[in-house]
Amino acid sequence: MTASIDGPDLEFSGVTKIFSGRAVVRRVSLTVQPGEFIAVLGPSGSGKSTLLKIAAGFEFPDEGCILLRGKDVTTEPPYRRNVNTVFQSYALFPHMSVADNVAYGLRRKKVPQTEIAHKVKEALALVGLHRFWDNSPTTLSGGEQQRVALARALVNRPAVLLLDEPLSALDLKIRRRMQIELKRIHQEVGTTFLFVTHDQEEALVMADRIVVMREGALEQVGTAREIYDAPVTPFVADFVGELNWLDANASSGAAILSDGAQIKLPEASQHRRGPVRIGFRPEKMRLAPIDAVIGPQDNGVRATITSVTFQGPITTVDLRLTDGMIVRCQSSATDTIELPEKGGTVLCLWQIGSTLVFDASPTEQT
Amino acid sequence: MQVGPAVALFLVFLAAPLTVTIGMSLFRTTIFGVDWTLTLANYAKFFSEWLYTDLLLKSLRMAATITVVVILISFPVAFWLAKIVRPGWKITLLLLIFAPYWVSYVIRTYAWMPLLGRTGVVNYVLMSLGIIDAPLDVLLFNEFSVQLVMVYIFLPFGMVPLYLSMDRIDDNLLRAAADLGSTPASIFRHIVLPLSAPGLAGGTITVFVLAIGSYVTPRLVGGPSGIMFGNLIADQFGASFNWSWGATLSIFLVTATLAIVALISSRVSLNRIFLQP
Repeated sequence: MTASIDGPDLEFSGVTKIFSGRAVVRRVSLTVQPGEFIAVLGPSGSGKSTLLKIAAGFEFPDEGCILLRGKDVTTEPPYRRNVNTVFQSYALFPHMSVADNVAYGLRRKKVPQTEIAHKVKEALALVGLHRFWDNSPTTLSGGEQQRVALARALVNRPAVLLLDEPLSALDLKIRRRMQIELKRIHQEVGTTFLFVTHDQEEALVMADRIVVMREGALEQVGTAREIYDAPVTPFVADFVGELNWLDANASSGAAILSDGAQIKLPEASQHRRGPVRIGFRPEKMRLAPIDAVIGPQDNGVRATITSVTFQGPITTVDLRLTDGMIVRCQSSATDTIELPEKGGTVLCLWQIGSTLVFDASPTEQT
Repeated sequence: MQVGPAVALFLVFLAAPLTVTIGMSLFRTTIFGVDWTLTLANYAKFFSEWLYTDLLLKSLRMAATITVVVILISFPVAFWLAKIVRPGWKITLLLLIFAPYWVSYVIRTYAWMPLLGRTGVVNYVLMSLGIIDAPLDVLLFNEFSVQLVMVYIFLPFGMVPLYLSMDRIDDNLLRAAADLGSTPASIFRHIVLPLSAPGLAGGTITVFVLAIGSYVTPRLVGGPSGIMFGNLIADQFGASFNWSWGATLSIFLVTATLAIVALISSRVSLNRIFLQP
């Protein structure tokens, strides 16, 4: 709707921010296309919130520039940028009604009164809160307050909507509902969303593209599938989802564990030699009887079961390999084989294609 | 049970003295002692001469001026302390600002005399710089000096409530306002001012009440023209020994003060001032 057809909505170009001698954002370059839903994912201290503040104009970069629909806004104050922010703490004005909160931005832009009333009504309907028009925001629940904050930002039709961990103050159930709600709203209004979160599941569920940050720098940018199935660094692999790690030594297309067991490497990693780290996801692993045949597409190692935990939809099995390394298997309860009891020995199988291979000592990215 | 202590305080420190004061105002003091017949003569006396109403109005005006100046100075300083200074520095700066106030109020008033007097620091500097030829007399012993010294003395009473109000404003509210298109001036008008209204009203009431009842400062630095209503009352309980007239004047002062407090609290509810939600 509001998205321009030519060029990206938002561009970070070599953005660096230094706080008391430490670079909290390091040479970040990122292009956000119109209508995209981008999640910036990272642990606390990764610089993701600072990046958002730089886009909003609450912080100014020490290096690099920010383009908003092609216009350089690097030094513009927040009130002269066509972006709006949804804060983690909601930041609703406590001395104004819900409607006045939503109307705030339009009033500052001197939009005619009748038009404001119409747009506020529309925005509140979008988030399902039209009944709360006259309420004080302090009387609303956390989820409702966050919806008001969303309406207050979206009513201005910003080029980019910035969301700073908007759901992290909500409890799990409401958070799940708001995730779906946010996605629906994004599809309905078509505004570009830049969403900061430390919750990998949230990022996977909601975003078109995920930007993983670590120590101020971009670690990987890609779709949820790319990030999950083909993480480029052990950090991304570990941060997004769970992972089993095995230390091994690669030579001629396979990696040898310390007990002599062989792990076949996927096509792209055939060239590797020397110490490597092998990763595979717990849910991509299956257990088979110890005498089962390992198929040509599979990797298999022997392991002893150390614990079996039934969790309803899934069952988690912890195992110890013969060389002492610990791995975890998660599978749907129904397709688990007749499990030997704790202490029994089984064969762990996973596809060669879902084997991840990394350098043994990952060099620090700068 | 919970209101017990409050009621006791109210009876001992407010109702009882006020009753005594009202009672006292209903008798007349003569040169032969107190005339124990009930009369409203003291009230008639107040309105019989413009002198008294003039002095009351002048004192109200002075107290209002002092209050306005205190608030005008306090606002930016409180905002700076609450929102701009880095958290680590706040307590140091607050202590520095209030350190002079640990010294007695009378001494701080006296301290202004060698500053403002004929041979004082201000005149000396102005003369050495050749800005004036003869010492200025307008600096001390008049309305100006009373107001100047009282602004200085009452500054913390305006500053503290404003600071506390502003300190409670979430920084993200200011960010959100800027984010929604508010310029700094508009943020002040739409967010900071309304949200610091309780502190503003609290500071205004406190400074005004303190200023209108003052009599030490006007006596020390006021001279004949800087005299206030408080001095007139004090005189009745001292030199003139006319307690019933003093009581009557007190009632007029209390009434005027209450009227002002009522006016302010009609704009900002007292609940918000004293129990900042």
